Amino acid sequence: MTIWLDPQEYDPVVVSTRLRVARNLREEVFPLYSTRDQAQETADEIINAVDEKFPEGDYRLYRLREMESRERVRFMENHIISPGLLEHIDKGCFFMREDERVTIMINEEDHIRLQTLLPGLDLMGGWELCSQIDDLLEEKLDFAYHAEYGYLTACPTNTGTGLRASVMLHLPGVTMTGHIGSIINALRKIGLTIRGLYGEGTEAVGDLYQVSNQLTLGESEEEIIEKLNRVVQQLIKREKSTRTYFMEKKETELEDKVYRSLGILRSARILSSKEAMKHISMVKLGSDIGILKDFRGSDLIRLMIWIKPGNVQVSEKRAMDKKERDKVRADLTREYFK
Amino acid sequence: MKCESCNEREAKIHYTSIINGVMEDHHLCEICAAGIQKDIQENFPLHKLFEGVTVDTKCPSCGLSYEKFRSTGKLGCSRCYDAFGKELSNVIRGIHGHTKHSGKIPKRGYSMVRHQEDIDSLDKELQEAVKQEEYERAAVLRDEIKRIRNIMDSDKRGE
Repeated sequence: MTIWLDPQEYDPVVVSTRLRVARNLREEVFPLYSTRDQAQETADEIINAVDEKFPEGDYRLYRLREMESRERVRFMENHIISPGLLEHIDKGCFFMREDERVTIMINEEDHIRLQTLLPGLDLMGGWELCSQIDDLLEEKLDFAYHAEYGYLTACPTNTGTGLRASVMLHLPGVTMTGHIGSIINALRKIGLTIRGLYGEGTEAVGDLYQVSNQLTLGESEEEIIEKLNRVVQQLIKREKSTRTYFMEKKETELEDKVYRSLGILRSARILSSKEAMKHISMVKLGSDIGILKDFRGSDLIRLMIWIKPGNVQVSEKRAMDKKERDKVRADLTREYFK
Repeated sequence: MKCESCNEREAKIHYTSIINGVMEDHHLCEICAAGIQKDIQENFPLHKLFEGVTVDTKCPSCGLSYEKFRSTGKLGCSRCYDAFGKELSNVIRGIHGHTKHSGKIPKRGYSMVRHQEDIDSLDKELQEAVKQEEYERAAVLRDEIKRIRNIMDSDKRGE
């Protein structure tokens, strides 16, 4: 998996662009309060609509309750589904398009969470794809829409466009300057936010951050996207200039950090995913700015996903506790950086 | 002094009650006083004191109460938005700084919304016409409303 991460479109700072819209059926109770039967009925209606609108068979349906726990977690780690969907195992299911770039989640917090996921920075492309699929679904489904509030969602924080557009950035340079805190504050003032790898309430590991819009009502999708795009461009510029600064002014210190990280990845016998992420991040930085020649940034981004708990268990084809995973993870990274 | 309730233990709690203007002194031991206290709590529970003072709105469609929404932050169905009216509108304004959507409009939903708005304004005109006793105009308006309702129904059926 992670075929959505196309190495052809590798960018040293921008990992991916993700957009999702929340939609609900007008006549149905929202998933948080629906009975299993009601949720099943809603899911069937949506599944029929998807089957009818995409008859080519490039969308495959996955039902959470029929999957192994590690399989479900892997889809979340690979950003195909949201952590929120995993809270609805008995009701939730999702369609994934073959190329992994489109996911239609059913019975998450809202009836539908439609997601498009593209490598690199492509907010407009992501929105066009998302909106086009939204239009097709709307031909079959009666979406809850309000003349004043726009698209209605279970949580009023998503009402309006129902859109969350986010860009995942690798910001080791900015992180080293210690400016992330003040960037968070500055973004909040313009209705944007920056958070950890898996969205709301998650910690930034491996210097990976998601910048996204916080507000969904009052601005059009295009306005939201344009603003986010401008801010992301600024962050990219800042990240690049800090990398140049560290390279020019603190070259030895930077090389030291990069080689120490590589040393740990090559020697450790026990590695938590958080520690592994931290060191892979430094090795990626070293590769991006030319200190290391043997590794490709795009491969390292994939590695960051492959060493996650769900991925490790799926590749080993068995359930493992943390202790065992940490050992296997260390084996994997030693092998990789050998 | 013995407790007036059990007549066994020493009275340690002394209080005066005034009931219907009759003043009485009471002397109780700690155990009997606690019993009375419990009795009072059971008969006059404090948490019920303000019950019914604030009316808890319920969504007529899904049955979710506004209080429940306040505790979970999550609405029950699309009808909750109108059911919780002004209060929810204030919540939304608090979150977004706006209450008016200015983005995408569903193609089918667009005509639905527009039809509803047309019906609302025609309905107002109809009320006015009836008030002014312009019955011929009222009949025309009534037929127009009916016509739009029919379009909406067939739209809903996906025709």
